[in-house]
Amino acid sequence: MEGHLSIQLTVNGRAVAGEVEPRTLLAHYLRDALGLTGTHVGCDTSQCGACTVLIDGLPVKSCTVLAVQADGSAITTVEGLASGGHAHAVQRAFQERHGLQCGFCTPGVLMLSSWFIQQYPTADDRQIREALDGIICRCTGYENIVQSIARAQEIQRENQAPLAGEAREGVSS
Amino acid sequence: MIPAAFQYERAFSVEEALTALASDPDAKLLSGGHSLLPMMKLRLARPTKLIDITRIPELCTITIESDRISIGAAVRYHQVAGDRRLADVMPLLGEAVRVIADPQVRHRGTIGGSAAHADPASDLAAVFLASEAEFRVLGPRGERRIPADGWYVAPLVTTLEPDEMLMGIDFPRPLSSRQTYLKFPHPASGYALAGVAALLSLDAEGRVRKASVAVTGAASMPFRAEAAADRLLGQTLTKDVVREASELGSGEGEYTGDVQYSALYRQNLARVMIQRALERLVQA
Ligand SMILES: Cc1cc2nc3c(=O)[nH]c(=O)nc-3n(C[C@H](O)[C@H](O)[C@H](O)COP(=O)(O)OP(=O)(O)OC[C@H]3O[C@@H](n4cnc5c(N)ncnc54)[C@H](O)[C@@H]3O)c2cc1C
Ligand code: FES
Ligand code: FES
Repeated sequence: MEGHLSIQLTVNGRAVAGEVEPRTLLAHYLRDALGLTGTHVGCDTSQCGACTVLIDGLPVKSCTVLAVQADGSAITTVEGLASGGHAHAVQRAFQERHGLQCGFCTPGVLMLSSWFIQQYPTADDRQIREALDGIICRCTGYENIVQSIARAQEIQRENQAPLAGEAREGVSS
Repeated sequence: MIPAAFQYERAFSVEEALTALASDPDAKLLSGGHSLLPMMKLRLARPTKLIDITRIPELCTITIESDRISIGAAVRYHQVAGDRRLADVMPLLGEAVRVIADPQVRHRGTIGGSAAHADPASDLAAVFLASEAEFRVLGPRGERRIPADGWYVAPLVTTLEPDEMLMGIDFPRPLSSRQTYLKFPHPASGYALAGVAALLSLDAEGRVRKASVAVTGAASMPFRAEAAADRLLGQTLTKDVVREASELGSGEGEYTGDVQYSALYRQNLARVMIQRALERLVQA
């Protein structure tokens, strides 16, 4: 197509090739071309973070990235968080601690959180709140989101120490 | 919101970028895109072509030499924040980039994009001015080196010509060892309502040997607070000296009020923030 450019991406582990207009935003490409409507567009002015996805492992606002800028990158959206039928630590934690109400901001919050707990596994509440600077949630007042992220850190630690867990079980049985 | 249609070209070398830029007067360089794309979505900017410079290797490096630190124009904020060597030689820079916007924006925005966009409340403007940075620019007429003092012309305007590209920013070494950036963010936008970068070195007797202070956000343009530095030179950092220096320094900006903040409020905030930054350096 005239004026279109070819791009190749890896989206949630799957190779994707497409033709896009240069002005196509990554958020729209994911939603409209790939049908991955988990990524939400909230403000469309780079403020709310509902559109946050990972590009090469780093959270970015996909309403402020052109699809062509992401050419050659690996993208992870909320659809790609769970693996092998298992919910991601942040998904489990947000469910356990009621980290959402209407759920509109949640895909972005989950993507940001998944990066954050890996990057800062022992961050305290203040650091968690700071990291949430690029997220606007109109429902929760953030309290449960902060608690959910702290819970996700715990789950991550439990997952990462299966041997210690087994040893403890061994002692108690 | 979708920007007006444009062509997109990815440059892999400096030559490619400059040739593409010269071939179209309405072309623009695209770095992190976090100032340009929002403006294009609002149709406040309508370039006919974007030239993506973020995959040009020379623009993506951080080099630390004995007499200078060079940061490529396309180096992203998070790369600066995560660079251990930089944290040793210029902690000020990491301190400043860590309070720009939010994690997502810091993963995209670049040092050169911030300089070229020249928002009068950009956090790095204070850092560039206070640390006497030099901007390396390349264009069809060759290379130019522009001191930070001569870079910012007006809000969103620099001395850069439309066919020139900012290659990188150099900071002279050694820098004064006491350095800090202190920001009072606008409660809604998060941009600096007043941001102060300050560098100090003291002699063996605790007297100020070198001082440099710059303010962003508060006044209509970022500015160096020369009078503050002059007041500090040769002095021991007593409460009175710091207070007077802050008063004199804040007096150098040109303030304009807006709906929310009067000129007087802004000047007072600049004074308070200079004082807090200096107090932090006294304790350092
Ligand atoms: C939600 C949000 C919050 C923000 N908060 C802050 C904040 O608190 N503090 C702050 O300082 N900034 C803030 N910013 C602005 C952010 O720092 C931008 O990323 C930055 O100002 C521009 O950098 P960029 O790499 O994204 O540039 P781009 O948007 O790619 O480019 C900006 C302009 O510079 C030109 N340009 C870019 N690179 C070059 C070059 N090498 N040579 C010549 N011209 C060039 C472009 O053509 C364009 O005109 C915020 C932005 C957003 C979206
Ligand atoms: S939709 Fe992208 S930041 Fe709000
Ligand atoms: S849960 Fe409704 S916006 Fe966050």
